[in-house]
Amino acid sequence: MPDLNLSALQKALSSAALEPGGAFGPVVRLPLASDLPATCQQLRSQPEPGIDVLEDYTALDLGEGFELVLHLVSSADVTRRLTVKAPVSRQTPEAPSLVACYGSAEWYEREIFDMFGIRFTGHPDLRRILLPEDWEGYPLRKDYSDDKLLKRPGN
Amino acid sequence: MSKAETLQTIEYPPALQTETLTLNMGPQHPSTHGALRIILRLDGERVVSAQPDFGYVHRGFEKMAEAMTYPQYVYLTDRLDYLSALFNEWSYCLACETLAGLKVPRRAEYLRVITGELCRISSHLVWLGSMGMDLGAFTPLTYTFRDREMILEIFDRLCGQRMTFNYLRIGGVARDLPAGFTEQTRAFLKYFERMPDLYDQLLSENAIFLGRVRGIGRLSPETAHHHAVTGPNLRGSGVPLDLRKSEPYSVYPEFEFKVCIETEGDALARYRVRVEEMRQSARIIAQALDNLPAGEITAKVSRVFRPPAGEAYVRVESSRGIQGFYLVSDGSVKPARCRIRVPSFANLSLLPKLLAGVKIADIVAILGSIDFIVPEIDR
Repeated sequence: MPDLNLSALQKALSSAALEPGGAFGPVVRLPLASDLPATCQQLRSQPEPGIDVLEDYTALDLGEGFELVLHLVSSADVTRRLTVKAPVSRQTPEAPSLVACYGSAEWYEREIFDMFGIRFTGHPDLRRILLPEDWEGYPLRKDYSDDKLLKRPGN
Repeated sequence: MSKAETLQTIEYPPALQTETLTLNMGPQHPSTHGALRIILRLDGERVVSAQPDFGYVHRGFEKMAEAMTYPQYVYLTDRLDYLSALFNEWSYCLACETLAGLKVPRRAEYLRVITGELCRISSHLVWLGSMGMDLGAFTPLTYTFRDREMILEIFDRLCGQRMTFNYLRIGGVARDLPAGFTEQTRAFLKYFERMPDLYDQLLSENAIFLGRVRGIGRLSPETAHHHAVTGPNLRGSGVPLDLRKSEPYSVYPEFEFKVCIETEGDALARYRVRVEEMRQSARIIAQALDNLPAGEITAKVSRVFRPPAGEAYVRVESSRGIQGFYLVSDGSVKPARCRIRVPSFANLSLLPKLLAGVKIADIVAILGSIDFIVPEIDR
């Protein structure tokens, strides 16, 4: 597998920590979610096959806060890939929208909003996508509960 | 609403005022293949904007995973893309195996390839029949469902299930081939050899069918990448991305097959890609049956599957595109997070773009050519 030019990448992403050898390519760890749009633009214009496809976009509930996880690949070479992670606070769950950068982000962000309640500023149409409009709460948060959730025996 | 709305507004002279009509297509519409609703705004025969609305069969798969142990979840993945259920199991098991660092025995890998490619053929057969039927050609459906039945019988013999197989296990497969499986599969392959040509005669040499799909729903590679489209839809636009070749997993490097590409990017190109893929899948199955190694069918997996803390994002090439599982383990018996990357979700996000400006009758042709499956989108 051809490797990404890590040193050039690190230079382009000055503020971010770059960890080689993650589960899906190197991991770019951003200090703030507000760095996401600029980082994605940089990754797209990387001289070698630009990383320009947002294959998957999701979030994790880490307890004290959330983490956005982006799985990115290059359209020119599928083996060039990256994971980008950015923290989101629990008190003000907000992140900038990436719709301007990736078309696929529009629905992925709606799903993250639907499931985790993270608001994407600048999103053109941020509403629930899978759950009904009047659903209360955000099911994939770890502290979510409702009277329809059944306790499995032994748990 | 969307950008498309402003693009397609037609100026009428003041005396001839018309207004757009909002029409719900679905959730119970035969061409949406499941409960999908498309909110259409129409200007006469033309679509001004189309907004897909889904979630009618949302079952909370990702939440359910957090309450189940890893092996318990395998059978549920069958209910994502039920027409090619094996790929869901495959990517889930692969993700678990990556987390735990398990090596799957070669015989099990071969069995996975054989069943996986059978699944791809049967999924494409359903698509072919229903796409023909959506466009008014009823005959192909009767042929493709007849042939698909033979594959379902093979699966029935193998694992007692016709569609929701529950055949794969973390570390291997559930059981070895039953007596007569190889002969039955070979007989099917021999029979199936000339079938794609027959379907081709029925559809791609049919002037009405051609008239309805040629040049319809054009998709450029740039738009496809922008929306993270994968699978036959992407290959129909001339991009040779097939994970089985570009990032080989399992034992795919050992087989000879071609990645099917068409450059037109229209509904006809996507149709051609899928028909050719059936031929290639049959080739792979024949090679796998010839070279099937003996040996174990499952790796040594401890009774309590407890992968170390970490994460894995693993993808396979399903019949609809890249299907992946992103598993985060905290070292316990249950996943901390189980995210499912489904091809249909990204593929369907194209719809507002593809449908803007087309005529109503073309909607069905475009929907059919995208080949999405709703339970997978809703999860």
